[in-house]
Amino acid sequence: MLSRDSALVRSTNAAVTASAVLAGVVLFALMILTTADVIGRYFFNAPLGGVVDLTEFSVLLMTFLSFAYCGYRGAHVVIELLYDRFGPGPRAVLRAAANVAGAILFGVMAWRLVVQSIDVRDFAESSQLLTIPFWPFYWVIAFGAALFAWVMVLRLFADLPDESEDAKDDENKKQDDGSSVSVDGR
Amino acid sequence: MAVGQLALAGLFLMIFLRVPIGIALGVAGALGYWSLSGLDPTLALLGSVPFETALNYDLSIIALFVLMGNFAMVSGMSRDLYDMARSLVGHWPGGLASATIVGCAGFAAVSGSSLASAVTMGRVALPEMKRYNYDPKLATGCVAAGGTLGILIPPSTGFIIYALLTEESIGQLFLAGVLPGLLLTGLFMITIFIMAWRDPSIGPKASRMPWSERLRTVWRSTSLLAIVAIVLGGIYFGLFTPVEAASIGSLLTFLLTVFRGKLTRETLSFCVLETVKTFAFVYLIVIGAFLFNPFLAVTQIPLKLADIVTHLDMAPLAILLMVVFTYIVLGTFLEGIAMLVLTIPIVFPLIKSLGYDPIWFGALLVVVLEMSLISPPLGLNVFVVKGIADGVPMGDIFKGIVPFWGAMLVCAALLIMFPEIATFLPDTMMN
Repeated sequence: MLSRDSALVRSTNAAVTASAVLAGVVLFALMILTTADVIGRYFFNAPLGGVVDLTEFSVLLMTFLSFAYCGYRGAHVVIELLYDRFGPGPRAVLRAAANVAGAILFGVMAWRLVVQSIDVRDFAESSQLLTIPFWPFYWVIAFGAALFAWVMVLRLFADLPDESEDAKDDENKKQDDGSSVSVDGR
Repeated sequence: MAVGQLALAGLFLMIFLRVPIGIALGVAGALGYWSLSGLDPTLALLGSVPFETALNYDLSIIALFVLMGNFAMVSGMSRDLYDMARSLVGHWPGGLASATIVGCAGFAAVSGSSLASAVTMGRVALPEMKRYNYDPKLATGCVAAGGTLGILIPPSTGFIIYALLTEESIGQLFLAGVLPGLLLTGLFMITIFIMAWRDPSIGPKASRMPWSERLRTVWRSTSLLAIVAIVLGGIYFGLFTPVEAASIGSLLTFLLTVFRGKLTRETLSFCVLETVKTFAFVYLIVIGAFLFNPFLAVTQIPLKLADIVTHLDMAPLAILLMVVFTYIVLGTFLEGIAMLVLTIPIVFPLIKSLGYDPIWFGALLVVVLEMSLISPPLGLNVFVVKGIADGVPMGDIFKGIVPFWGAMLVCAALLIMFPEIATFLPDTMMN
């Protein structure tokens, strides 16, 4: 297992965090822009034009720039109904299988988004009000999908955070200390 | 049809084996579509659906309201809300538990998440109830149950997801949650009152506050209450869209955080990263759902199911009760948003064909989802409360929840008997 201090994990961490912060900046910009639009509409009788277009683009950016960070933190919603019944060995296999599935899905997605961007550019598809061309956004979300796929690959051989597993470890530690009462007699 | 059932079975198997739900939906959808429509259309789907799904105006609401809830959390508003509720009802039997419920309801009006409501209010209320020797079962039960109000009282992630999947109006759905949310708040308080009245030792009365103190605590909460009034009032009177309401609400909450001197490097970075992480996993599930739904449409499973059930020759009410019962059972082992995404495409055509109001059904569904948040064995709110209530065993928390679970059942029954509770506000809202 690659440790969290290795150069590869550290640089991935930096990339996903930068991407997440960018998503946060887009969110703040959206918040201010929309409020300014409402204020302009009611107080100055002058709404900003094309806020709907910009809102749609910001959702696009926020979505795909945030996936890799969430994947890196291991913060996805998971259900462990059957998983819990296996021992540590099979569990590791199941986790690896889930990562492979995610990597393939988002890897193929990134590839197809890049392919699609060519068609989109040839047909000059663009937003309705501001006629901003769509194709560069295909590249951005392809980047987001690829970064997420890379994080899933990295999970296979590096020790990355996993929120639900880490919570369980904390719980076990507490019980070992005797500082917490056991859960349902388990 | 056989491929459809196989893919559905595979989807559930993957989910129960801990594949993240969004990924499981995407994989099952892509493989299913591949086997029914061929490889090229599937690849085209993967190249277009992510863009088309995420280029969505209404989807921005989730990120904005998550941000608003996180700012509300760091601004110290939960403390103010709890102090207000405590000074007003703390001297009743079980008053501190009732105050927790009121605090949760108030926090739910700035937060769309049940987990956030339970954590935020639990951190404030649990130590106080411990100090007054409250029965731990009552103390943890009321935090877990009160927290669920987060997805019923708008803003609510549950309603937003429901709206995205059914193309219903988010504004109407938000308003449909207001009165049922207040009703459930009242039912929770009645439940506590009855329990503490039968056995006063579980919830000793706290000291009565003088009116000067009450006015002071109410005054401290006015900024928060004003934000709630602007957000919901703006939607009700048609002054702005839910997206605009969410932007204004989160900006005001942000300014309040700054104004109170609670904005530091740490809290800002916590708010931004926590917000990004939360909306990322919701958006991933949404993208997965929109990769799965084209496949589901090709199989025609939803249409066929609606067709079979409507020809069953059963009263619509009987079918509705069956649906609600199924959701309660599913809710014991599925997470709320996942449950919506997995079932709405199948259940919604059925409900519509029975002639039920889609907005009303949304409200009913969210009440049932709330029950799932506190049902054993996988009630997420219970795990959250366990994390902040040091040393209270899981079994006790689940025991403490039973009366509140009953109150939710009563709320669902009242909603079925009197649909106006949900439909009155959306029907009278101005466009």
